[in-house]
Amino acid sequence: MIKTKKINFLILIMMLFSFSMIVACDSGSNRETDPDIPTPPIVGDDDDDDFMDDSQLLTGTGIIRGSVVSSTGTPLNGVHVRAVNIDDTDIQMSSFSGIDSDLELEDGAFSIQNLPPGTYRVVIEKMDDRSSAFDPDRYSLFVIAGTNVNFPDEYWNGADESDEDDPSDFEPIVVSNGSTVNGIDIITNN
Amino acid sequence: MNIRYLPILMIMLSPFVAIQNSSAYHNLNNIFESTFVFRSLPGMPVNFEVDGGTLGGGNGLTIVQDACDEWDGLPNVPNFCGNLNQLETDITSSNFDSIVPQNDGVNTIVFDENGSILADLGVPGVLGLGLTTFNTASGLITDITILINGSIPSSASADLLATVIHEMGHTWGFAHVPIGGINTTNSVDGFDRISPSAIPTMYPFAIPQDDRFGRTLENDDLGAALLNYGP
Repeated sequence: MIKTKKINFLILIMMLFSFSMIVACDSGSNRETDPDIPTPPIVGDDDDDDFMDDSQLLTGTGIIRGSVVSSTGTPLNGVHVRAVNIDDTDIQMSSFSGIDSDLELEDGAFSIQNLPPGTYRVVIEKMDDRSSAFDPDRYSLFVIAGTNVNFPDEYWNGADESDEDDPSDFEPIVVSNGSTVNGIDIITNN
Repeated sequence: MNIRYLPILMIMLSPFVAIQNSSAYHNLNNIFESTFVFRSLPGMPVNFEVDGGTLGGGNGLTIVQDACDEWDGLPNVPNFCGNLNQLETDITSSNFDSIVPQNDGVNTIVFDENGSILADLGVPGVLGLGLTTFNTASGLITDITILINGSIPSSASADLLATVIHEMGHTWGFAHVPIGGINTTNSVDGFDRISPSAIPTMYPFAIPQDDRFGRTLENDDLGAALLNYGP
């Protein structure tokens, strides 16, 4: 009885929104235990000193911009692009391709903003067919649009970037206060 | 028609019902007729009405306050949380409809002590759920409801405080982030695994090595906050 009432409540909400052009209700933002991890191991402490300290923030941040294209030159959207600080690999920030630094839709473009100054490498990851954590449904319609694109994870490799370069080769990217590093254009390998 | 399928049908028929998140730079956004809209708070801090019941058998208000403290501790970002007013009423599945109407402008945190409300909403067994109602033209959030599942004992496998912080993040407008995805199992290959303690709180799952690591916000969480609310 209660369940029917709740469903009716949801229907009411959705009917309301279906006749409104200005409001919408998001129902998809939940948190779960990972089904790929049947018995999570437990460690002893919760010490956490990986977060950047205020002094790093006070020195400002920078931006990495670029694009992701296939070996045939087709811009790829919905690719997870991750910047990893080489000196402290626990400093990682990411974005998805398909959105430029002005947060406008642009096929293949990506920007990773608010990076603490440092030296980074950039890695691309496909979002499907690997584990629940990369299930596009957990992220967005936008990411879903970029699924079924198969390529091996790989680093941006500077001038040697091609569709045949070694995925583990990378070119360091120096990010400084207030800087924008452009041209991090990645070609996926077949 | 089976009533369970009716909402799905209505979603399909209505282009204005945003039921699916879109994600870029970890900010919730939606694409309406090719227009890209980020969700964000219209003002800060956010006041909450907090369930008068318990959470995990304990004092839920303390957990909510701790979660607020974590968000409010971010540098260069205004405070997210304002007043936390604990209701006298214990919100349950029997009174949820009447006490927590959507889009009334009252932001509510619900302690779903036996998980029945989340089950009734169609997401049984999840640790928490963050609901936002927002203007599809401006992206401004007009109403927040956070539900926390108190039926799952807080432990290193699924931490209640980490869940509250995570769901709050959604209601500030932040989406999931896959950083940490290659950490979940050793069978997932990838470059540059991150330490479990540094996995962003907006990772979509409980952190498998120890979910208490989710109690602290990480660089990527801060990056999203700065993007929307920074100087």
